[in-house]
Formats: sequence, structure tokens, C-alpha cells
Amino acid sequence: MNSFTAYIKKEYMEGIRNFKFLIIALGIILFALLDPLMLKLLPHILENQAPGMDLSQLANYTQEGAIQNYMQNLFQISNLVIVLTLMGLLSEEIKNKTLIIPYSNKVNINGIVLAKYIVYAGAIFIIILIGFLINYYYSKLLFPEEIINIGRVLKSSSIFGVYFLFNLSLVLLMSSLFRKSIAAGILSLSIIYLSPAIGMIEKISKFSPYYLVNQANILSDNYDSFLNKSILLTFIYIFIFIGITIYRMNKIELD
Amino acid sequence: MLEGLSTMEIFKMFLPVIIVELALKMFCLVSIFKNGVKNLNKIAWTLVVLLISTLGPIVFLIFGRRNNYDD
Repeated sequence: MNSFTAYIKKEYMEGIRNFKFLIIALGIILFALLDPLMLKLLPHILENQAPGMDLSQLANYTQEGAIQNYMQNLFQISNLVIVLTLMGLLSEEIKNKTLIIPYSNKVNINGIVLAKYIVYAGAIFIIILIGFLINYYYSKLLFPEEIINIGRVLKSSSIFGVYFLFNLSLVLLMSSLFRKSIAAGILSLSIIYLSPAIGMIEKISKFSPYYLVNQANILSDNYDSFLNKSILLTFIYIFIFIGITIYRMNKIELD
Repeated sequence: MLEGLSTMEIFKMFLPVIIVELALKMFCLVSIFKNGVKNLNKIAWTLVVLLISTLGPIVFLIFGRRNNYDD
């Protein structure tokens, strides 16, 4: 077994042992179950609170609306769960001095960083796909009137997956910059939650990864022509962030 | 309360969420009393897990669970 495969295996085992995969799965999949239910029950609850009120304007009570609600929660809450779970990915290793042995054996640091990214990127991508499929199935059962094509949902989940890959690279970078994981987490969350503000500036909105969230929300085949370029741009950001993380980890001093 | 829906229908709708939520709460409570906690005491984490739906157990797993490095 070469060292890179060993790092991958180590990260995978650590993710299971520390329940990181479980926490991420909960943060993504629980809302896939809850959101269609809430949307289904909302008119019934509101009707009791305000009889005679026109509820049709409040929300889109269709399968499409349920999936769009889920995507909103993915951005607002799942992002929070993912960042808080993974904020210590490198900073905890630096703080706990668990990197001293690999560093003193002059192992390839690039492999350590890449293994972390690949394992969690794969996990997040798969969990998001499962979350979208559960949400699709559950919302189809609760809103059978207007059923949308599953292909559109899979496209949206892939776009969302790419957006989360960007967030993961951001968390990894911040985690390499700070020894306190909470500092890395707060800074990552600040950047993530401020990115919709950049999206409000029309000229640069397309260059922000948040543009992917907007496009995923469309849930149709009428995506903007810039979407492919935006995905490519997001991958460029990811490569840059991972590059900086590797550079930082090669220069870091473990005392 | 929810006109047009029977209690059984509402229960069936919520069943997957109830199962996941209960399993998660049980898992967290076992972890609290078997492995110990950090940042808050056991009673506080038990209340967080039991009283805050969905997010309570997630918050415990992120901030309250004791891992190998904490010893």
C-alpha cells in the first residue's frame, strides 16, 4: 500500500471514529425529510391561526417548492453543520501535535492535505445526492399533483455538490491558517454567509460560487449560459485554495 | 387541529423523522453517560439533547462529545 492510499484509509477511519460522516449526514439528510413535511403542514397550521387568510402567496405548495425550501436549508443550516464539523480538520492536528510523526519522517505533506480533501469531498457529494433523492421521494409522496423530472433534481444536486466542494476547500484553507479551530470556523462561515451579498452586485455575481446556489434553485433546464463557466471557475478557486493550503502546511512549524 | 388529516395520517408522515430523531437522541445519551462530555456538564448536555429537536444532538456531537485527544 502506498502512502497516499494509507492517508485516504486513515482519514476514512477517522471520519467514522469521530462520527464526522454521521454528523454531516444528519445535517443534510434530516432536512430532506423535514422540509416537505413542514411545507405540507404549514397551510393547515396557518389556517387555524388566521382563518380566511389567503395562504397561496406565502409559499409554493408543490414538489418544486419543497425541493427549493430544502436547498435554502442546505445553504443556511447544512453549511453551518459542515463547517463546524470540519473546522478542526488541520488545526486540531496541528494543536494536538499528531502531525509531528509524519513530519519528522519527511512524508509527503501534499498527500495528507489531498487525502483529507478527497475523503470529505467524496462523502459530502454522496450525502448531498442521497439527501436530494430522499427529499425528491418524500416530496413526491406529499405533493403528487405536479411531479418534476428527477433529472432536474439530480442536476441541481450536482451543482450544489460543487458549491459544497468549494466550501470544503475554504474550510481546509482556514483550518491550516489558524491553530484554534473555532477561529477557522467563524471566518469560513463569515465568508460563506456574506457571499450572497456579493451576489447582489450584478457585475461580479457570476464570479462568486454562490451563483451556483442561485442556479441550482432554478430547478429547470433553463440554466444561465454562464453556468458551465461558473462551475469551471469554482474548480479553479478550489485548486487555488488547496494549493495555498498545501503551501501553508509545508511551511508550518510544529512546536 | 389539522383538518382533513387524521392523527394516523400525521403520525405516518412524521414516522421517518421520529425514528431518526429518537435513534439520534438515544445514541447521544449513551455517548454522554458512557464516554463523558466536554465544555458543559452531563446534565446540561442531556437537557440540550432531549429538549432541542434535531439541532440539539448535532450540537452535542460537534461540541460536547469527548474524543481520544481530550484525555
